[in-house]
Amino acid sequence: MTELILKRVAAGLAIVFAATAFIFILANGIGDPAVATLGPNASPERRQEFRVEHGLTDPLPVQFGRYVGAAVQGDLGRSFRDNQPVTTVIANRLPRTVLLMGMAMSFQLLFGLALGILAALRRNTWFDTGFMGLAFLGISIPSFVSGPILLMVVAFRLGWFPIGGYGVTALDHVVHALLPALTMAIIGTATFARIMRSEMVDTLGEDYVRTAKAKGLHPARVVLSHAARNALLPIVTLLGLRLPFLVAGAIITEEVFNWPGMGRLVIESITSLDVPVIMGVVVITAVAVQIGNIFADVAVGLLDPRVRQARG
Amino acid sequence: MPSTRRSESVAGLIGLGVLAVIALGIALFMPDQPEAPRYMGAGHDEPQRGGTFVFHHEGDVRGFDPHIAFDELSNMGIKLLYEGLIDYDRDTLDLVPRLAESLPEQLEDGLVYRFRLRDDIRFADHVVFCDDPEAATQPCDGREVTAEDVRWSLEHMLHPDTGSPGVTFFELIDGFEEFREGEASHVSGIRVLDPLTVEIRLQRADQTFLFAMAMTFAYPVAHEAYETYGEDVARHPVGTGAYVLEEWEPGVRVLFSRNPDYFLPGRPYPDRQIFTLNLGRIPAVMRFRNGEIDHIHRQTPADYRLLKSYEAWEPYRVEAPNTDIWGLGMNCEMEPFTDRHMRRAVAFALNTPRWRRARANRLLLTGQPIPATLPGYDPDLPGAHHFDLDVAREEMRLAGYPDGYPEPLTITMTDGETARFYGELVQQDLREIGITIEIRQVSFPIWLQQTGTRNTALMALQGWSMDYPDASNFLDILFHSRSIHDTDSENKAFYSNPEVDALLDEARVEQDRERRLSLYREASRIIVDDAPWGFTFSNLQMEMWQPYVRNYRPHAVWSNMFRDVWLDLPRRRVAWQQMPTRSVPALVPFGRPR
Amino acid sequence: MRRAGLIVIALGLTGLALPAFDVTLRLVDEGPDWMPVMGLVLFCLGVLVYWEGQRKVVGLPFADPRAWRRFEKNRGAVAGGVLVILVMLIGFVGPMLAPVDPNRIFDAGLTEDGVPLGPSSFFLLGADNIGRDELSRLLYGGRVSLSVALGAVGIAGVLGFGAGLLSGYFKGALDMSLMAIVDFVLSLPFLLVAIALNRVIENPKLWTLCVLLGLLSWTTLARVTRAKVLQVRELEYVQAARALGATHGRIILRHVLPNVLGPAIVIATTMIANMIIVESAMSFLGLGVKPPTASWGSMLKDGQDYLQFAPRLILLPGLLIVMTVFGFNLLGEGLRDALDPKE
Repeated sequence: MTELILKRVAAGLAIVFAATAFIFILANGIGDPAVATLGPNASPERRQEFRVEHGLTDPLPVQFGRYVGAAVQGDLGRSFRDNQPVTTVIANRLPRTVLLMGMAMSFQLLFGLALGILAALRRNTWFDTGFMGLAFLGISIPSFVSGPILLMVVAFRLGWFPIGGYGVTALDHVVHALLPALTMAIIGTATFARIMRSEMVDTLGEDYVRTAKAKGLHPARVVLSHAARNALLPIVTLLGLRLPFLVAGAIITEEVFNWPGMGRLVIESITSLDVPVIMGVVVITAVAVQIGNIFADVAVGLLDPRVRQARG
Repeated sequence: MPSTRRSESVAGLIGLGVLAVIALGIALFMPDQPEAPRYMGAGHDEPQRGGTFVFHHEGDVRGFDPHIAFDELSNMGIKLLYEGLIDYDRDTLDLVPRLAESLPEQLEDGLVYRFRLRDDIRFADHVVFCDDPEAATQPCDGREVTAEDVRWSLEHMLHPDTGSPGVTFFELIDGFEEFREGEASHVSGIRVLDPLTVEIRLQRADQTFLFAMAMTFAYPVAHEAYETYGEDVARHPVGTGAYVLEEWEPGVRVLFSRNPDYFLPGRPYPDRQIFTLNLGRIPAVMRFRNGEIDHIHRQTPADYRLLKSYEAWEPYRVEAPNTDIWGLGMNCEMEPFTDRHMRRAVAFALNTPRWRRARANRLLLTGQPIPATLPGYDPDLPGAHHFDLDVAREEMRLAGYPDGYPEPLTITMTDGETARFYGELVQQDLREIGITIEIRQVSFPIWLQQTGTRNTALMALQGWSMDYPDASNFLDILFHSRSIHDTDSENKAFYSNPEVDALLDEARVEQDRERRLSLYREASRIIVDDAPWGFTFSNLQMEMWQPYVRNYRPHAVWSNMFRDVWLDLPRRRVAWQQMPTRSVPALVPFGRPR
Repeated sequence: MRRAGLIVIALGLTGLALPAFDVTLRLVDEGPDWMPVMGLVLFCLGVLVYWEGQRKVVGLPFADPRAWRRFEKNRGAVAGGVLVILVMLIGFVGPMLAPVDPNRIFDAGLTEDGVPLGPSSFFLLGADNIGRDELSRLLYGGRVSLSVALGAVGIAGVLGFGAGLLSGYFKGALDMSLMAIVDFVLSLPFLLVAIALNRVIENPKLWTLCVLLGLLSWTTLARVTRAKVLQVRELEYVQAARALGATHGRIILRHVLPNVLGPAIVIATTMIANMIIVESAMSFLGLGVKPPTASWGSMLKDGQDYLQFAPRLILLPGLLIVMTVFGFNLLGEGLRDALDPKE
């Protein structure tokens, strides 16, 4: 098992490297950071100074080598815009996105499981079709449709939630994250609901459950625990695959609700051609993807009965 | 086992039905649109001390180093943190002394400027003034500002290693070249005469030099800050302004608190100012109407129209033009625009009233090269550009193309929606006089390069916003032949008229204000007659503030300058307490209203 | 099943016949028109299905009459199919029904204040934020959104399916390298790369957007196909065929393909739904189709500033997007249940 993990990690590192290189070439091809940072009024000499100062005149492989060399020592460079170290910028933003996405995923899980269980218990009735239909509809409404509408109606007109933004104290942050998290929950609930429901339906159809019901026993706890255990694998796999979102954030939702997280950072850094920050985001996201994959694989290894049996 | 998946179509419809019912319920029982301000002022006539003023911007501020910052965002903070020797009077745009005791003496016919500092200016308290800034836990007393500080600040700003974008405005100082080349360690033209007097000598007389000294680049700074923080100095401002930087949460907000050592007694009035960053205009307007922020300056077209229609807000609302100009530039060195009549035909064919309507009336049609907010602007300028198809057709006839121009002409635009939109409007307008337009969109850096290179771009929609509030900043840079270069030409119309050049050169050194203005007016008249651009509009900006915000009016030079406001407090204090808990007041520091 | 085949044939013919009706259906600056190609594909598909209904020919997964019956009984799936056909028709025929040029700006479209006009006899659904006809833009926009989605899925489908097939069947070094590429693509933050690539390209057209999106999303399909192929290749009759000396090509075509096509089609359908959302999202951020081209996503962006007094500018394209995505999702679910029922 350890050997497998080590191999995975090595492969992961290679992938991160490749991804970083690719984005590096890409980011440098988008435009001239000197113009983007200094604005149209700057003189050409000033722009040239900027380029020399940031090593942009060297050939790309040299620049990249320099970047990697510094990165492995923990220095991801400094933002072109405000000269802050990229690590600081990311360290500021990442927890905010993690908070938001964490809440969003929790809601998705919670609502999804609840809906799935309820739908399965009342399967083939209007409840079932109603719940699942609702879930499906949720998946079909993009966040940039529901977001602005919710913001205007629920936050502004009704005043039930703060109008976007981030808040000051820790409690503030949680309160401000509620509405965007709920908006994302609308979309993500259906997937979890479907998994849970199908597992529940399977479990409810098992012989021992039927027997228990025929005997008049309430197999609720047994069913739930059994179904939950079966559902665990696909859900955990899904969570693992969704891990990168924990890091990269939902760009649109953060944009609509003014949440100062990693998602907004992506947009800001691309618009201002802040190459070091773009690279920083990419590195972190790539690492997160790899970790998520490894997590999912390990989970499969631990939880999937077939694999467990195969290992003996 | 019966099919477990039927009727999901019906399910979807049920889902939609439920949503519709909820939506209807909300629509019917939702409280009305708030048409009036939520909180009114208490009604004091005298300025009151206290309170927290909250303002915002859509973007993110990069830093507060006056030597580097040159954008609207940073200046919003810099004007709170720093003061300059001279500044602009808000109403007349005259230069008035701030840190200086009086306006500088001009000696030797405007070649030498002598500034005398006030004797009661101190830098704000900060750890950089302690013996060991790294170890200091409390800020140490700020020291007095002297003429030496003025010199140090100017030289630091001009130093090649600083990379200041403001360097070009000070080129005329004697010894500038040698200092920049590294041949001299000081700028010979800047001399300290005594602890409170500094003298600046120019290479030749130029009245626009005072405007340079009013720019933030010339604001005195504490050298200790630069020595202590090096690259990070932009995050640790030490100045002489009304406020000091208390806290900065990157990407979220900046907190300013009153500078107890400010040289104007009793000022500033509000205890704190909060700068909310990265706030889009839609949530900003919502929060403004809710009473959570105190000033807004950008609105979507919908919000603009809504807010403009509310009478209750009328006293707290101003629509003012930006100090900028926009127009369709034509390359005077390329066919067919070597012919003045062709250019004039295009200029008068632009259907600017239609443009204005399409932009929700947020344009001010000026038709001349000097912006409406500056002296020298003449609303009745003879020959100012406006929409007149008869004139346009007549000019086409005079140009020899009564039925239109046979070849398609290319207009070079930046990418982006607004550019494309205007390009299409131009296309439609010029079709009326028989000119076919092709739109070419390129990225902004390439646009800069192409429009600035000789014989490359034929037409381009372009604009210019001021560096300092003087007609010379527009006319000299855009229409003087000296601004023509083979590459990176600022005079992108490549327009050269010796008459105009002479007028502009004379105005540069003219000390009498009225005479100067009349020279610029005359230059304007010739320029619109020659039509190197089709002059169109300036952007209008609507600003609104809460009723309890007093003494605020938009400033022609400094946008969103809140140094001098005061808050009409008691009602506001009650308002804080009444602030609905459901929308958490995310702007009161430490969670408790004062 | 013949019925279904005929329906699809009809749809395909509509698409094919379009160029005969109107050559100006070419979107300004955007390059060749997708829809006739789509029409051709549908036509062939319909013919195949019809043939299968008549007599078994190729033995493809959707030729199983039991699967079709399951599909037809599943009302959700049928509803999804109906929605999809509706949307495809809008995509095909919409521009022909549009009363005016969707990009033409009308003076009369805005009031003196610059407010877009509501529905009237001229502007059937009102004017948009700068005075263009909303209805025409919706109709043209449908084609744009669909073209991008279908094109992207087409490219992703070919790439993903092919890669998964080869990878799973031949295993070994090919498998490892292809899966490494999959991992690489998956590591790239999707939106960031899409945005960056779109900005790098000098003069992006619609089809560059399709290629871009396709290149970034073929990975899921590749993985799933590969997993299925790995499963299938261990089946007894496949082993037997190998032993009997059948060539790789024949085995793939006769044995592997039919079994693997099913899940692939299901995923492809859901991908279309996702692509519609992605295209809308990118256009909403201003980074998708270039203005003034109308797509439902860019119309959402144009309309969002007017939420307070012209909500139809958001609701109309929003509704169409939701309808399309919902339809494709239902169809995908229905296909999944029809082809691989869990009892």
